[in-house]
Amino acid sequence: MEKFEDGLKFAYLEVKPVIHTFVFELKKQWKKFVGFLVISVLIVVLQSFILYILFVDNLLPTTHSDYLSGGLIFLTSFIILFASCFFFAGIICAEFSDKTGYIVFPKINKYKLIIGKYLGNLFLETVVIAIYYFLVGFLSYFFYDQFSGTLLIRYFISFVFAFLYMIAMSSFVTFFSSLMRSVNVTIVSTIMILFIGFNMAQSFLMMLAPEIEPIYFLSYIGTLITSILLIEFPDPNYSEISFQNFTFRTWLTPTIEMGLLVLFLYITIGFILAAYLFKRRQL
Amino acid sequence: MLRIRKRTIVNISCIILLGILLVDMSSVVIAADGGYQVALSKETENFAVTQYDNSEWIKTVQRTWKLYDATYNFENDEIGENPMGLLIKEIGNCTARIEEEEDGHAQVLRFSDVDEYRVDMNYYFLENQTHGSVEFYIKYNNSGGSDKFYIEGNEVNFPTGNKRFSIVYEANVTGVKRWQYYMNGTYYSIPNITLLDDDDWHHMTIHFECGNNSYQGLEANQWEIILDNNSSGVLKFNGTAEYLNNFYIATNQSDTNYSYYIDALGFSWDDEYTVGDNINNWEIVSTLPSDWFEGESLKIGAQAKYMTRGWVDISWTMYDVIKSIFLQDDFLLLMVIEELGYNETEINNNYTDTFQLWYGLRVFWNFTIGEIEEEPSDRGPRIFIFQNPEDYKKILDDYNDLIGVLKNDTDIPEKIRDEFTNFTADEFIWQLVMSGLGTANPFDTYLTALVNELGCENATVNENTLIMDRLGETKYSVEVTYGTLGTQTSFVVKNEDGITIFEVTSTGNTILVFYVILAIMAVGLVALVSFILIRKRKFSR
Repeated sequence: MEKFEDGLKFAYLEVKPVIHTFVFELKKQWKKFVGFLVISVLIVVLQSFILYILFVDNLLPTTHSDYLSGGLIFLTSFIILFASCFFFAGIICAEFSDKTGYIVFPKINKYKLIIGKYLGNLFLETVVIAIYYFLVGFLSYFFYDQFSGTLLIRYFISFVFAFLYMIAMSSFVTFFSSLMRSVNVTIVSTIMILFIGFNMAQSFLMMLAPEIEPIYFLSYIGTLITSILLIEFPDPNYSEISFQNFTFRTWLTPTIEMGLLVLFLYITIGFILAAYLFKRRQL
Repeated sequence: MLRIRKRTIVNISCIILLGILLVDMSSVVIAADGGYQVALSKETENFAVTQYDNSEWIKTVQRTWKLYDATYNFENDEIGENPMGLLIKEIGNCTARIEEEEDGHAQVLRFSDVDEYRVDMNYYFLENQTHGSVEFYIKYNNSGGSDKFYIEGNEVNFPTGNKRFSIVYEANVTGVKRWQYYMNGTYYSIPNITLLDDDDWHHMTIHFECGNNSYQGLEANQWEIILDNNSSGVLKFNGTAEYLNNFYIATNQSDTNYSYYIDALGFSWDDEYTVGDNINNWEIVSTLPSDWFEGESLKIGAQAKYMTRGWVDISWTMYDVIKSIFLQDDFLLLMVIEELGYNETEINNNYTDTFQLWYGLRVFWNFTIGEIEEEPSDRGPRIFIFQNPEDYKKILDDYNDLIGVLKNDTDIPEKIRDEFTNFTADEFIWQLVMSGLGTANPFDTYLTALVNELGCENATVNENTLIMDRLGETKYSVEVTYGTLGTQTSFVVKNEDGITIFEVTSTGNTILVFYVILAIMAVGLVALVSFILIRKRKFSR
């Protein structure tokens, strides 16, 4: 019993710096959080509510799932991406730009510090996403008057995918954060890559080699968040338009298995590389 | 302190303004020229079947008749036309035409003798038959005068022919009726079989044998009549026959004003017909609640809903009206008349009125006793409200005028012309209601104007309720009530005594949900502002 209590005490002492950093990060990033929260609420109210109420000729989607799917597009395309870049860009590089990373005898284990910072930011962004999901779902009730059991499950699964997508994004940004010298450069470069680079590369790939599924682009993987909501998951997961001798294929969404695999790959590789580079920078 | 007060006023003002804006947005109201208004709201309206009395429905609204298995059951024949495959000879004004229904039988052949001429029907067998059976249902309407009806089996060797069995049913002015058969120049009474009751269907089978096949136990040149299971016993042919190849029915030339009905004509040599098959029938039931409301609308507690997806304020030409209201389910017919010269330009040149309307797109979930599915049952329903109720009258007049033109155009094939029918005002308003007729505010004024302008004889308005008297098995009425949004919120069918037979009512709409959301948002805003104010006060202290 005594051993167990000692074990618990030890574990608490080990975790305590992480918790302190976590709480500190929450206080530090409070303004960013409020900023993204306000933007999210405004976007939801604008695109899901006022757009349909104020403009009577703007047709509501025929099914509830289509409505939810449409309502989440802004989240997957912008909110998660920008929030990840803004929240996680400073995770590692800020330590070096603020010189704290060079302290030879730090009072706190640096990995615990990074983990605490990461979890703090992850928590804040998760809350933003959760509130976005809640608002879209809640306001949709006004038009559709029901949330069928199966749709509610799919909506929850979609949230899980959004969460994983956010972690994949954050690992990507954290990796860049370990590479870059300043927070601003990290933000700009990751936004450029994730927002512009991936989309452009995906478009080029679709034009040059339409038969290849663009599974390695996070922007493509992100479509899984909305397509999982559809009553019938797209099968096959592409559509084709033939024009004379040319067939143009549009990839709609990855399969669930493939999507999960790629997300876990991003998460794992991103964190491993970030940890490795962080260690090297300290030497 | 003063700064906080100023900000408080600004914040509260903002909340009030936002609240007003949201409330206003919840019911966007657009006024029309005629002073009518419509709340063009997007909402989901839920319905439930709260009353259904099946037995009363059958007694009052439902009409049921039967279609019988036979070689000729006239199922696919056009109403009012001669039957296909049978040779009809109509002389004078006498006719043999298909009728939709007669005393429980669907699609029957009516022989109508209205003058001093006659009408007859010949059926030539594809192959000569040495033996066989002919059976059918027969119904007789006595004129009260003297009349006769002939049924014959003939051996025809063109150009001559001989009747081998011949039956005549005769009624005279003294009320005497009798069955007779013809043999060797004389008519004899047919023994054992009963007389035909006026206005009742009777089943008749005639077996015949020309050779030595012992068909139905008959010997050569013998025949037998079975009427409603009563056999005449064995009768002899008129002369002798090697075969029969013709069946003939006719009215009598000198008698007038009587009619016979024939249904389910079966021939035993038809590969798909076996003697006795025409006893079997299947029911054709008309006007069930499910004809009006699809799904499980026959069950009390069944729920349905529709969602209004959006509205547009548009102008229709007469062509648009025809395409969208009258021929919305018959696009092929529209294409045919367009090919025949009645295209959009031609119709709009002849009927120049344009109509302003609010046009809403909806999706509908059919009635179900279980959980309403995610996928709507129908993505096509619309709601249209003409901004001026007088327009309905113009539309009906123009449409009926166009139908008159089409029907008189001999360049159009008769079959296509027959497809078009005039609408009465009552039928038109019924069609409109069943298509989801909405109404503008003030509802009673709008509905009254609509009914009065159309000149409906069987429709009245009581406040927000449109009452339509209709005829099924007996008289009944349908009461459609309009709610505050101008959409149908209840649909009640009552019998002549005013007892409710069927009732569908709204169980609520999402406007209430909207106000709940609004209230939560307002409370949230107030809480947020209060929190900020309290924080600021703390800091200022």
